[in-house]
Parts: sequence; structure tokens; C-alpha cells
Amino acid sequence: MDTWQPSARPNAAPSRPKRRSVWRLELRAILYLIPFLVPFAAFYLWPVLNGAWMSLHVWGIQGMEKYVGFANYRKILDNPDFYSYLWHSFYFVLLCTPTVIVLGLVLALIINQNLRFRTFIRSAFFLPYVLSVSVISFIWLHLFDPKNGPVNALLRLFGSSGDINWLTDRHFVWWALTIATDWWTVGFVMVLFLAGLQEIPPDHYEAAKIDGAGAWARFRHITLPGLSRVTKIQIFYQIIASLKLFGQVQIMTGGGPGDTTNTMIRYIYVTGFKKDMFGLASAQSILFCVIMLMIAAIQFKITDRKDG
Amino acid sequence: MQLRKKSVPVLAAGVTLALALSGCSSNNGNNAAGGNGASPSASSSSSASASTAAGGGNPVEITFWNSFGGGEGDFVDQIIKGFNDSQKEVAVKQLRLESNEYYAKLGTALSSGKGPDVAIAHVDRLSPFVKAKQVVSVDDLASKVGFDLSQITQSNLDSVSYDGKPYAVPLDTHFHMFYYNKDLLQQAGLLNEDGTPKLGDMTPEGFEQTLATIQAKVPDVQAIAVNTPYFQEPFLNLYYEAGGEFLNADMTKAALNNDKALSVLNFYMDLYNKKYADLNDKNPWDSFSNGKAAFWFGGVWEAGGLLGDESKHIGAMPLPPIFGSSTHWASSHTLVIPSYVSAEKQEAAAKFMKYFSEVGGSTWGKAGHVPANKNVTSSSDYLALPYRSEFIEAQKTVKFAPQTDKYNTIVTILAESLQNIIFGSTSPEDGLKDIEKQINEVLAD
Repeated sequence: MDTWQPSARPNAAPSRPKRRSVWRLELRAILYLIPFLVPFAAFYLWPVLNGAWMSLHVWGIQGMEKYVGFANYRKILDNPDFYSYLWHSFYFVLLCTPTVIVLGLVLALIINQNLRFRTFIRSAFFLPYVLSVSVISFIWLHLFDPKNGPVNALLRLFGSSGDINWLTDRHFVWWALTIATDWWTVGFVMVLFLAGLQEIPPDHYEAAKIDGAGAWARFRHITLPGLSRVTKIQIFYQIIASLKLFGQVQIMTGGGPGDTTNTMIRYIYVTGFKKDMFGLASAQSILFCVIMLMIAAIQFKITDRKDG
Repeated sequence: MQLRKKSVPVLAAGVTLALALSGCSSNNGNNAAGGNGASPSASSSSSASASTAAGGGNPVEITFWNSFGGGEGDFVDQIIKGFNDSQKEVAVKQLRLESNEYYAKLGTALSSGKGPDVAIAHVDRLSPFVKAKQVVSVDDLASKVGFDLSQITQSNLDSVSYDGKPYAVPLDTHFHMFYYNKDLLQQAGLLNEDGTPKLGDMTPEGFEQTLATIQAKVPDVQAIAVNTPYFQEPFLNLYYEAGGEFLNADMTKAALNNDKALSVLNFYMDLYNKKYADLNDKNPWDSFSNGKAAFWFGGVWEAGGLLGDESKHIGAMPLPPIFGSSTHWASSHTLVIPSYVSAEKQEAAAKFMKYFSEVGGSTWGKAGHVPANKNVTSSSDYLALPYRSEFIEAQKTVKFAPQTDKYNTIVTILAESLQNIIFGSTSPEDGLKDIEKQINEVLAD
């Protein structure tokens, strides 16, 4: 730190110049941050503030209609749909986050072995992640087709009656979305775990082997603790990503059957872009944003305590 | 050392905030763009057209916004090319926008005064633009460029008229036809000598009887494919047949919660429950097109694909009056000129409208829509297209959306809530009550 702050000579001057130098240091830091701060303010903060402003109005396709204060918020909180769609978003977190993390870890462990075609297998698992959400949604929309889809055809091979209506039966539709999403994102989880695995020093394993630890003991006491940091980051990232579920639902189910898979983000989308109620949609966004921030804060508290 | 330890959580908090914010800021950002900021495409196109307007001998360049993709888009391309080649005074440049975002962008453009010189608008979307005086009435412009509006079918002209003045040039009427698969009907013994279907009594029970016959004789197909993903369309068709109304006469309250709506819903629930139609079919249009269903309420815009291919053995007729009358849902594409457009460009745009209606109409008719220009629909060219006399017949009994500026909102409410009803999340009775409540809330705003 001292290397780039030439004026910070300790004891050379009493408090006053010191304070000035601190101020200069701050100014300099801000200068360095400007390339980030300007686009951040223009494309992030400004729209968010604008959204907050809009949320206090009735705002239709013609623009602002009238100021209504917090009436939009009251309307949302009085509507049982809000709670039900919020729950749907969290339900998807409960389904998707554990499955994708466990799957990603298993894949990473497999690939971390000295396999033949290792690079090929790794790329194969990572490839779906490169695709856009609309592409993967259309792929799975066709795979899950009850009559002509390969998924049911496969099930029929294994003796099932094979007439599961994956996307229109409320018992299966969440699993269909989870499978599609896991397939899409597991590659990324795997790659991060793989990087984590390679950071664990091999001599720990050697030492454990000499001490006679079995495979499970080595996994339990070396691999898992070694991966704890990366795991926390992944859980964190996956929770946020799952809460943002929209594209898969919009394309594969349209929120259906009925409104079984209508999530918070789709609720906001329909309110804003289908019903032209932009003020109400902004209020929904702000509420959801606050909820996500609270989750982030809680998560951060938890991870911080353990790391500290 | 201590400093460093502190900076870690600060940094992490920053990342946290960024991640979480990105969750909702994308929506806020879009909303903001829809509400007050001009979209990039809007500003770029208007500046492009403005730069050429000043030139003296050059043609007046006007920008034309539309949302036609796929097959319809090809026909529009042909019409624009035909217009640009036919004269030297006006050059039309088109901007094709994604249909999902089209009205958010058009609304922004109209309210911010920057955007197209002429644009497509559905008739049911017109009302807010007219009320806000964002589009001009077209009667004076039409007479200036020698475009006789009496060529337009009266019902179309009425649909775009507010206080007796037309605010758009209707290009077409589009609605649903009753398509039938002749091969499947033959197998069920329900095909007449002349290739038309033998339909039983024109009552819900009579129609179900016909479907039962098909189901018994041709068991591995759907007797009728129902447009479940867009269920509001088949619902409105039969609800209008039954004499139902969307809103009350002064458009202040919903008028949907009644026995007519209930009997239509129960009829459709019957079709699903008795397996005449497959509730789980997510692509019913494909099922019908591929010969997996005997009947289909399909759009006239599907005519190219369904009737154009002779090998499919598909026929079309007006929707059967199962619920009493022949009244059925319709919409219409119209052309509007925004108020902010300069007088010179308004006139140029009017010339394009004239061409689109008089000459382009026959091209447009090939897309399946019934052209609004009477001269086109009575031409032998048009009538030579398959089943077009049936289309014209069906066009006589159409019902357009009520002229409310909240139509888009209330039809979305209807669409979302109907899904809950047909998939059993709520009963038809409760569902209708809920629809009524939601629509009334919106209208009260």
C-alpha cells in the first residue's frame, strides 16, 4: 500500500497534512473507480432510482398518469398472488440449488480423476452453459413433449407407461424446469469445483493415505473442507440465479399449468409488459429487490462469520 | 493488516449488492425504457429519416414501423418494395420490431414524439393513442392524396372511428375460421359429397355428439384441437356467439361474470374431460396441421399453411354457431400516422397508406387476412384463392374489441385467469368472479 502513496511518510508531519493526504488518497481511489462508477451509475443506479420513482405512480403505456404514493405497494401486499408467486420463486431455489451443487460436485470429482478424454468430457458438460436461456428452453420444451418427446420415449423403453405430461402436470412441472436448468448450469458449477479441487495440495491426500484413511474419510476431511470457500460462493450464486428464474418458465410453461410455475420475475413481466401497468410492476421489482438484498445480507453474515 | 481484514467484507458486500441488484434492475431498466426513455431503435430511425427530409428533389423518406415476422413479413416486404418502385416521390424505410415489445416501443415513441412516420397498430390498441391525440385523423389526408375511404368495408371503418372521424386506415380483418380435416371426417363418416363436414345440431350437445362420433370411429386423434395455450381466443369466440359482452355499455365495469361465460367454460371443460380435446397439447395448431385432429378453430392467417397445401385435405368454413349466433372475435391491422410527423411527411405517409390499401391489399390477402378494401375482396384475383368466399362470409359477423384504452390489460387478465380455470386451479364460477374483480379494479384506476 505504501508503495503508491509517496506522501504518506509517517511521523514526518503532524495531524493536519496527514489528514489532507488521506483525503488525497480517497480522491485518487475515486479517480481510479470512475471507469466503473460511470457506467454503473448510468446503467444501474439510475434505472433503479427511476424504477423507484415510477413505483410511486400509476404509469401506463402513455407514461406517467398520476402520483399515488405507496398505493401500488399496498395493492401488491394485499394481493395473495404476490405471496404465492414469491413462494414459487423460493420453491425453485429449494429444488434447483441443492441439486445443481451436488451434481456439479459429483461431476467435478469424476472429471478430476485421470480419465481418458478428460478434456472432451469436461467440454461436453460445460457446453450447455454456453447456450442462451431461450435455446435451452426450446430444446427441453421439445424433449419433454408428452407424445413425441424423447424423454417419455426413454421412459417407455424402461417399461413406464410413458404418458407423463411433464409441462402441464403440476406434479412434474417443477421437476421438468429443475432438470432443464440443472442441465444448463451444472457445467459452470462443475468448473468452479474443479478449480477448487485443483487448489487442494496433493500432499494432504498422500499424508492421509499413509495414515490409512479410506476414500470416504479423505473426501470427508480433506476434499470437503478444502472446497468450503468455493462451495459457499456457489450456493450464494445459485440462490440468486434461481430466484431470478424467468426465461425457462416463460418459454416452457408460460407460468402454467394455470399459474403453478408463475414466478416473481414473470409476475413483474406480465404486470409491466403484458398489462402495461409499469408503475405497479416497478413497485413489484423494488419489493423483490429488497427481499433479495435481505437474503444477500443474511447469506453474507453467515459466510463472513465462518470465514472470520 | 487490520485494514485488509476489513476490506474483505466490504468488497464482498459490494459484490453481493451488485448480484442482488442485477436481479431486479433488469426489470426496472426495461420499465424505465418503456416508460420515458426513447428506445435506441426509435431514436436512430427518426434521425435517419430526418436527415433526408431536407433535400429538395430527393424523395421524402418515411419510416414505417411494424411487427410482422415470418410469412406475414415477407408479404409486407413485397408491398414496400412495390410502393418504392412504383413512384419517385416517397421512399419507405421499414423498421421491424419484435412483436412482444412492439407496443411498449410504439407507445414510448408516440408519447416522446420521436419515432415512426407511419406505423402498424392493431385496432384494439388504438384507443389510448387516439385519446391522447397522439395519432392524426386520416380523412383529410386521404382526400388530399386522392384516397377514397369509402372503399374500406364499413365495419372496419367504424372500428377505427372516434366521434365519427377515422383515426387509422384499416388494412384487414383477421379472425378465426372452422378448419376441418377431410380425411379424418371421411373415416368418421361425417363428410358430405361436396367435401363439407356433416355437423349435427347447432347446440353444444349436438356438437359434442359429432365429436363423440369422431372419437369412436377415429380413436387415435383429437376430435377437436383447442387452442389451450391461448385459450382466451376460443373462449371469446363462443362467448361472443352466445351473445356475451366483455364490458358493460359505458365500459366502466366488466360484464363477463354471467351464465353465458359459464356455459362456454363448462362446454370446453367437457371437451377436455371427455378427451375430445387434449388439455396437455402445447402445440394444437401443429396437431391439426399434421392430421392429428379433425377440427380446429384457427386464424385466417393460418390459411397459407393449411389451405395452400392441397395434400393436407383441409377445408374451412365460418365458425359453426354452436352457441346461437354467428358473432365471433376479430381484430384488425391498421396504419396510423403520429401527430408529431411534419405535414410533408404526413402526406407522404398517406400516399403509402393508399398504396397499401388499394394495390398492396391483394398481396396482403394472400397472407390470409381478409383485406379491408372492398375493391380487393371483390376482385377475381382474391376470390381465386382457396376458400376466400367462406372468409368473406365469416367476416360479416365479426365483433371487434370494445374501444377502451385498457383493453390490453383486461385481455391479459382474462388470458391468465382462464389458464387457472381450465387447469383446475380454480372453479369456473370462482374464476369468473376473480376476472370480474380484477377487471373492475383496472377500470376504476
